[in-house]
This record gives sequence, structure tokens and C-alpha cells, in this order.
Amino acid sequence: MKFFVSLRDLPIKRKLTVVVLLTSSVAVLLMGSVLIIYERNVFRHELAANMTVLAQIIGSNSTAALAFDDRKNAQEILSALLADAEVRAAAIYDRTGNVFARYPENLPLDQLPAQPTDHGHKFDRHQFVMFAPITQQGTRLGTIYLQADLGQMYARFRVYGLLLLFVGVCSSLGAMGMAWQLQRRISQPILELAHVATAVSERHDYSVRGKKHGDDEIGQLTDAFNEMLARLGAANAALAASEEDLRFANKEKDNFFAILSHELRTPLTPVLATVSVLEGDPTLPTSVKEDIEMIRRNVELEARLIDDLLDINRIVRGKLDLNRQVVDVRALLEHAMASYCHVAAAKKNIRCSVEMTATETHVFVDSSRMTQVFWNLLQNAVKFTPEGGAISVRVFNEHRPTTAPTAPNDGENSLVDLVVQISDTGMGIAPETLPRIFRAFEQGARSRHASYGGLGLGLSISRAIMELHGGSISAASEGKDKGATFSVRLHTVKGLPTPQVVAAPSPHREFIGDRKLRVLVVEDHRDTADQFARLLQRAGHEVVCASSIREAQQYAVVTPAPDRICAFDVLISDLDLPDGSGRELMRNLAQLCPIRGIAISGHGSRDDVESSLAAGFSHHVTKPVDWEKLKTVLQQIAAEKTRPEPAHAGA
Amino acid sequence: MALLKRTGAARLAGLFMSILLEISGTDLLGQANPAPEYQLKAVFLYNFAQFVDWPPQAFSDAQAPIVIGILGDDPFGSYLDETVRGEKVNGHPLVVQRLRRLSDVKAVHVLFISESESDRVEQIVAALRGRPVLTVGDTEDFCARGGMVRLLNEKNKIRVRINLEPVKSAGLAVSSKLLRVADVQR
Repeated sequence: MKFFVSLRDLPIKRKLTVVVLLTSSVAVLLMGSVLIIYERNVFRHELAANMTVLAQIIGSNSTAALAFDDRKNAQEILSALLADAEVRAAAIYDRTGNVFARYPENLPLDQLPAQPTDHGHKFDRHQFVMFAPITQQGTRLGTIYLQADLGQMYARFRVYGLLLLFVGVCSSLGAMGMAWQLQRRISQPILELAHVATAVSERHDYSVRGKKHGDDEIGQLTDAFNEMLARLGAANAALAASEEDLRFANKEKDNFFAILSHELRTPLTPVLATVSVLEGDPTLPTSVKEDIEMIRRNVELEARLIDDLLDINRIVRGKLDLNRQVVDVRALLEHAMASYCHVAAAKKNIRCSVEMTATETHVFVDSSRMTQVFWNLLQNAVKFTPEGGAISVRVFNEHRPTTAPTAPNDGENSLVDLVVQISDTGMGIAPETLPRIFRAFEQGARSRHASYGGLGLGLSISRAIMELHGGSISAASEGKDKGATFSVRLHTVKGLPTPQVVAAPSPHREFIGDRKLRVLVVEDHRDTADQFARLLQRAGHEVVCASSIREAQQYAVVTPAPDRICAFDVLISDLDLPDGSGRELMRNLAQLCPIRGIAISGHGSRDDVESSLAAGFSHHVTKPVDWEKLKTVLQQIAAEKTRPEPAHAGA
Repeated sequence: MALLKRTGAARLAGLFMSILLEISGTDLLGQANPAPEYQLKAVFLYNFAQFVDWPPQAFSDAQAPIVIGILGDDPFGSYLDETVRGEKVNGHPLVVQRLRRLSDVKAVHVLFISESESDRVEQIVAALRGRPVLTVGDTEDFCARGGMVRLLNEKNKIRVRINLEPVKSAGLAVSSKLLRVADVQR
């Protein structure tokens, strides 16, 4: 039984071999057994017949010896038995039953029957014994006794055994040969099918087909299998096609989303710029100033919403790039608090406190993205804290648990984390919504913002940014109306901050030009172009506007060589122009004469910035344009222009 | 018939035993007369009937007896009578005749020439020449003097010596088996 169980798991090839081997072995064994039994009977029969004849001959020959009491003669007659290997012992008894002669001559008497028994023969395990009467002319003279060895029979059986073994081995070899042949006809097609099935499951290649060898059950199986493969392949192809369609549609959607956001934001740039200028105008009456501030707030809100949508889109596509530098987190935090906390706090009568206990404050981050996180958290805190409440910001160091894996990229990491905790006394967060507030478009996030406006994307964007930085963000609240605490955790690094990041812009500083610049503004969006022109002219610069590359090249008249003096000091160009890229324009103009360039673009990824710099722009400004930043850049250019320029002087 | 034969065989067996005992020199039965060797010689005389073939004209019919004649003094006593009693060879019963004179020898098949006739062996043999009579004796030079079969003592054993020439001329056929156990004189 066990054998058959173990046979069950053997490959078909082996199974066939075993079956054929078993069959042939059983046949050989059966044949051998029958042959041996038959041979044994024939041998015994022949032996009995031979012995009977021998007894008759000896008996007949020994009559005279018995009759005339010649033991010597009888002994001689018996010694002729030496020629017969089968006869082991023999004796002649006289008519009174005494031993008259024996063979071999020195055979001890006790090895012979003391008295002749009934005539006849019998076999036992190892010998044949017989008695026969000795008569002469009908007169009983004595008895002959013969004892034959069956050794010869067993010797013959041994030969048969060897022959059987030989036949067995030969038939086994033959059987294996046959099994090989059978295997080719039966198991080969099955094995091929198995290979095909393996290929299909491993490589998902549905184009392979099993080869049909005949029209038997295996052939039918092959047909069925091939048909199944064909259907599976067709279904799979359809699935892949629809998947491809889906992917394409999704990409289209993403692209459309990006373009839409960009287009939505472009009109806001001139509005914000104008509002910013009007706010600084001391001649305007207070009532108008309030209206203008309302306009700025709402436009800024709109811009923020669009920015959030753009960011979410980038996060979903995995296109959110980081431009990381070593930064002192205190500078970022001060900047964010200056923009939001202090102003808003003053308006809503919210106490705003900072508790700085951290000694290691340097982190390796993208400053603008990190600022965005702080803005989000502070904005939320202000939004949800009622009048007379308090916002407290705590900055402290904490030793990282040693079990936490360190990020492999930043080798300068110390084992100290920097934690920024922003707590408010606002409406708090219900425990059941707490786990969901970082998920975009979640019900919890939405309901929290329902009465406050906004899409509630800030927290999920913040979480994505923190995760990209290898840090974390978490929220805690003791319950409804008990306030909320958001914690941002970053790895600290040892190092000095880069100076330009620390130089936070002062929002209300007036632009004072050290020197008048000639500026060529290239922008196809007419309102934006006009807004630029007004702002620049108000700052005392000369401005010419162009709406295309062609037009810009017409204006940029260059005095002929060898002087090659440019008509403009600075080119401010949008990158997406109707007749090409602003980078192309920059490249062309830079070949003609020394001119500085500022690129204006809706895209601000590292790749975008690098290709702008490669084209010859010295700065890349992302929309919506931060007017303060633009003014700073122009200031720098003007300052450089007052100094002698050896590179251009020599040219 | 079988019963008869068996009783005969049993009797013979007993006889054989006593012969053997007497040959070995022990006279347990206390029979001094006749000499014990004649017990065995009687059996030999009977046995000659089994190993010698007579020509058909020696018998008047198939049931005619084989006659064993003793010429001269009988040395056998009752041994020979006891030996052949009830026995048959090839369907011929056996008969013992005691003969005093040569003229008494008529339809005799085996003739034992007693020691008392030893002086006249040549005459007897000459008289029987050409007749199918097996002459047997146990005297010196029996064969040399023309006798056919001589019984002689050799180390307490009885040996048979055969003179083939007269046997052949008498028309008798001696079995080769007998010749094998006998000394043949040519």
C-alpha cells in the first residue's frame, strides 16, 4: 500500500517505467516458478526411473554373487556406481535381510537401513531412497537399496535461478527501453504541455501552444488546453489594452489638470502685483486700502487653493521634487510666523508664543517646501483658534530611538531629531477623525474645513512633504474643543546654513533702484505684461513690452560689432510664448550681446531651473511672481552693473 | 503358492543362518554328521539349477522336474532335500535322486559325484559325455579329470571352479553371471 502511495507522486515517466518493470518482473517470476516446479517434477520422475533401472541392472548382475556367496563380486558390481554421481549410497541385502555388500565400501553400517523395508521409492528433502527385490528365475535372492543425492537437482535449480536472473535483468533492460519508447509517446506530450503551462504561468506568454501528437485523449487535452490559452490570451490582451487606455486617459487627465491649474493661476499674477503696489501707495484713502486688502486676501486664497491642487497633482504623480540644502530651521520658522502668525494673531487677538529649547537646529530640507508645511500648520492653528485663544510653538531636540533605521542618503545625519510642535486652543479633533485628517479628500478632513472654507489639502500635502524629507508629521488632540497639537519631526544635521536662505525678505521694504535699468518684458498674457511694465516703471526702470519672440528680437536692437552694446540690460521673459520657448530667445540674445535674463515660469522643478540656467538666464522665478523677490533680483543686477565687468569689457 | 514360497524362504533363511554359524566353526546345533560345509554345498547345487540352461530335449515337458542326482555315498544328509523342497526353477520342480551305480543315471540334470566315486571319475565322465548332465564334484583334480564343476574350500569359503569344455560339449549353457563368480578352467 505504502508503495502505491509513494508511486502516486512520481513523474509519469517514472510511473510508466515502474509499471512496465513490474509487469515484466511478474511475468518472468511467474514463468520461472512454473518452469522450476515443472522441472522439479520431471527431475524427480526421471531420477526415480533412472534409479529403478539402475537397481534392476545391479540386482540382475548381483544374483550370482548372492547365490554363490561371493561378496567380493557383489562389492565390485556396486563399485561401478562410482560412475553415477547421483548415487550416494547403495547396499545389497541377502535374502535373510542382512547387508551383503555396500557402496561406498567403507560406509558405516549405521548409515544404512538395518532391514530392507517395503519395496518402492520415496523422496525426502535432500535425498531419494528406494528398495527393489533381487530375483533370479523367479526366485528371490535379496534386496537392493539405493540412496541418491538431490544435489544435482538443486544444482540445476541454481542454474535455472541464474538463468532467471539473467532473463530478469535482460527483460528489465528491455522494459526500460520500452518505457522510454512509451514515455516518448505518452508522457512526452504531457511533459510538453506541463512545460507550456509553466511558461504561461511564469512569463505570462499566452502565444505559446502545446504541440499535438495524436488524436488520443492527450491530443484532446492538448486541443482543450490550446483553446483555453487562446481565450486566456485574448482576454489578457483586451485587459492590457483597456489598462493602457486607462493609463493614457489618466496621464491625459494629469496633464490637463496641470495645464488647468497653471492657466488658472496665471491671471492672478498681475492682480497680486498691482494690489501689492497699491497697498504701498500712501496717497490712497483708507476705505480703498481696506477694499484692496480684501482683494489681496481673496486672490491669495485663490492662489493658495490652486497651488494646493498643483501640489496634490505632483504628489499623486510622484513628481514633487526637493531642492535640499542645509538650513537653520529657526529662520524658516521665523519667516513663516512673520507671514501668518503675527499678523493673523494681532487681528484675532490670539497670543502667539515661541519656546525655543533646541540646540541643534540645522536640517537638510527644501526651504520653500518646509516653509509651506509651517505655513499650513500655522494657518490652520489661526483658523481654528477662536478670538482670545493662544498659539504656542515649541522647538526642541529629541534623541532618536536607536532602533529606528537611519536614512541612507544623508550621511551627515546626527542621531538627534528636531521637533517643532504647534499647539492651539481651538476646536480640537475628535478621536475618530484623528487618523484620517492627513488623507486628501477624506470625509474627516473635509468636515473639519466645511465651515472654514478651503479644500483641506494642506495636511495631506504636508504629510507627503515630510515623508519625502524622511521626517514625519503627527497630530494629537485631547478631544473636541480641547485644542490640537501638530508635531513635525526632522533629522538634524551638523553644518552651517547657507546665507541667502537666512536673508528673509522684509515684506514692506520699498524698492530703491541704485541705477536705472533698461528692461525688456516678453509676456503673451497682456494683463501680466502691463502689470510688469507699471511696476517696473514705478520703480524707475525703462520698460519695453513684447508679446512674442519675434517681436522681442525686433526690439532688441544691437549696435554693430565690435562694440555690440545691448539695447537692454535685463530680459524678463515668460518661458511659454506663442512662437517658442523663452529659453530660445535668451540663447539668441546672449549670443548677440551681454544681457541678463530672468525667466518667469509656472514650473519650478529642479530640471526646469537647470535648463533655464543652461539657456543663459541668471534667475528662474516661479509664478505667481513674488514681487519682493523680483525686486531683490533686479537690485542685485543693478548693483553688479555699477561695478566694472571684466568679462564683458574684454569682449 | 506365495504362501508356500514364503514358508520355503523362511525355512531357507533359518537354514542359511545355521550354515553360516557352522562354517564359522561353532557347532551350536550339535550336528556332527554330515559335515556343515555340505549344507552350503546343497544350496549351491540348487543354485546351479538357476544359472544353467539345459537343452529343451533334456525335459519331457514344461513341468518335468529338474533332477539332482547324488552318485555314491550321500554327504548331504537331509540338507539337500530340505533345500529343494517346494522350490521351482522356471516352472520345473526339483527332485533329489540317490544313485548307487552309473547305470542308474538316466534323466538326471545335475549329478553330484561323491567322494566315494573319486577313483572312477574319468569313467563316469566318459560315460556321460554328450549327455546334458552337469557333473559336480568336490574331489581333488575333479575338473582336470573331466568333471564340469568343482566345489572347493578356500579359507572357510566355498568356491566354484568350472571346466567349460565338457560343459559346452554336453550342450549346456552356463550363465555369464555364474562364470563371473567362478574360476573358469579352459
